[in-house]
Amino acid sequence: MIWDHIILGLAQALTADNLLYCFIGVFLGTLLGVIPGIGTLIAVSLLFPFTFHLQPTTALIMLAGIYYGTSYGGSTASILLGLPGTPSNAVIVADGHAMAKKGRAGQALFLTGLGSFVGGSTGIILMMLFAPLIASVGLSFTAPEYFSLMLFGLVAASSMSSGAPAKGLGMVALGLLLGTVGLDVQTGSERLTFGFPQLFDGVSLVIVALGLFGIAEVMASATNTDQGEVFQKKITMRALIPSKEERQRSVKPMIRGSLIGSFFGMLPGTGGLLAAFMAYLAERRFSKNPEEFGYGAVEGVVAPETANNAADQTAFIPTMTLGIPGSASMALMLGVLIIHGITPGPRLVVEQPALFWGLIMSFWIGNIMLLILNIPLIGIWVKLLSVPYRLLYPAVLLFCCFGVYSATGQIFDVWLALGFGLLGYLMKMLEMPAAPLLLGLVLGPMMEDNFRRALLISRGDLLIFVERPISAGILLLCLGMLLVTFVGHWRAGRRLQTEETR
Amino acid sequence: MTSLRASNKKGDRRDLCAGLLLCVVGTAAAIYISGHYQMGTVRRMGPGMFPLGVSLAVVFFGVLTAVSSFKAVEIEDWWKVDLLALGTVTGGMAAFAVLLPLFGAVPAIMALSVVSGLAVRRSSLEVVLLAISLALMAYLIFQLGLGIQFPLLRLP
Repeated sequence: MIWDHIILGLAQALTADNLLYCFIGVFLGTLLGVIPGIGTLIAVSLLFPFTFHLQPTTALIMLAGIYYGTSYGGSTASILLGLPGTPSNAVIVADGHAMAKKGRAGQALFLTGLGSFVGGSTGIILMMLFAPLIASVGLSFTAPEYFSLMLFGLVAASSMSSGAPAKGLGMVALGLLLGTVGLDVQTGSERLTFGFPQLFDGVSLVIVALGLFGIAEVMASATNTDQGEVFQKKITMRALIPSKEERQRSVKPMIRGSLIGSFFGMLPGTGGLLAAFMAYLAERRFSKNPEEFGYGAVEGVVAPETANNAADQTAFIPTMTLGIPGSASMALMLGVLIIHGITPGPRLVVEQPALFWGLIMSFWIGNIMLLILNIPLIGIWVKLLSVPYRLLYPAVLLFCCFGVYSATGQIFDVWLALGFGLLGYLMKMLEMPAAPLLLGLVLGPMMEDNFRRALLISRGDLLIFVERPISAGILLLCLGMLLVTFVGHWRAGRRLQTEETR
Repeated sequence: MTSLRASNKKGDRRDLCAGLLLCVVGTAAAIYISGHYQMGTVRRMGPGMFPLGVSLAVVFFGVLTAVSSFKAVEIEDWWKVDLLALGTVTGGMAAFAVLLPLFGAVPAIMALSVVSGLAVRRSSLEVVLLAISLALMAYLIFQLGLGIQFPLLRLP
């Protein structure tokens, strides 16, 4: 059974077009991941317009390649520059850069590349095993279950964000509100468009993502001249080979990192950053000499990088099988798929096996490409890192503007993106997390649809959400999670206060 | 730079501002929605019901954020805005949006490059080279590479 799927998937993934765009995707993903300040979200939304003219499967393969390519590339900046290329590479900055200063940059890059591959592979294998199972369970879900599941995703995402939990939930609600802009699907009347016909299709996800993350970032950092210390020494091929000791010290962290990362990737609201962080903490606990951590411990570089790549892959499981994204970047992937006319969910797995398994097999190909791509091309990435930011940011800004403009050909969208840029700047100032807003924006329309349908089934009885066992169970989980988050936050606040009064 | 100062008297003003902002946005949306859209019944919901519920949720969490802010630690100087970066980047984008429909892509891109480039001190040669190379890059990637049609130069 599974072999049929693998062969079907390979047949899809190995077509010339799909191979080419897989390559372009992972290449551009690595490229943008290497540049500090450009994370997965910005990379996917910047490059999204490029996939418009592609077949849905090809577009999906390319976007996925960009997505997991960025975290491969991000580690390069962390090690060589001491600045995280993407947020989920932040954990390894201390140890990775310390290794580079000791002259072990090549080895660190090689081991993170290999670890990323091991982690990615573990994630893909888990996806191959579990995705069909979860999809078959998901087939029995109806509107109330979906509504509760989406609510759970949103609650999880907001409670994991930094700062006060109420703030995260407020951002989710704001995202949901933003998601109602446009024509109401069921009655056809306009909502909150304020007379702008450009808003009838809703606020574009790509515009919001580029505004809140891309443009706001440039607005905040254009005058920033702090470049980090670029590692100037040339890295030869021989300098890549790790010593016997380094090899031995990397095996177990890779295994542990894979498992930790795979687990956290599947949970909603967590993603690569938390996975990497947990893997780092675990290694420090297991280590015989924890005092080395922070000063160039190999384990502290390998395990987090393995974990975040594993998480990147397993994050696709809930997104593709249930249509419920666990993180903002997965929400963006989901939104992009919907724009391409693909609605992820259990029916996609069953009804379009070629697309689903083609994507999974392309993950293998993409990960192999990344492994090959990253090691010999390290020289190029190093050169890229020495391009000063003052030359880079106008180009990033131009790509944001042009990406938005070329998607629809309307100048209105550039103004809208500018508006979201300013909003993003304000949100940065007030420490309002943007990721929950994006998740709310994507899930909003689907949630409303399922909410209305559930109440239509129950003839207006709100109890339907607790009368169905699966839905009730999920809602109970939501409640538990909210309780834990609020109590935890309250306790942390009290601890802070008592410390101060001492 | 922001500095951490332990003082529980004033509270984290960022949370207070964020909470108030959410309250204002949520309230405005709720008033607008209830004035413009039909609610329907719970069984057959009109276009207004879900948005109204969501905007009330925004208000609720806004109040909660504002109230809980009084226990947090104060952060100083968070309100300081890098006006140079903010102004030049905003100006560059606005120039792009204004000039593109009037004069075409090349002048718009050059204006974006020059105005947003003012954030950093640079030589006039660099300004010129940057503007030209960005325009060239946009042409090569978007028009030649992706086949997106847009006027490069246009006289109004």
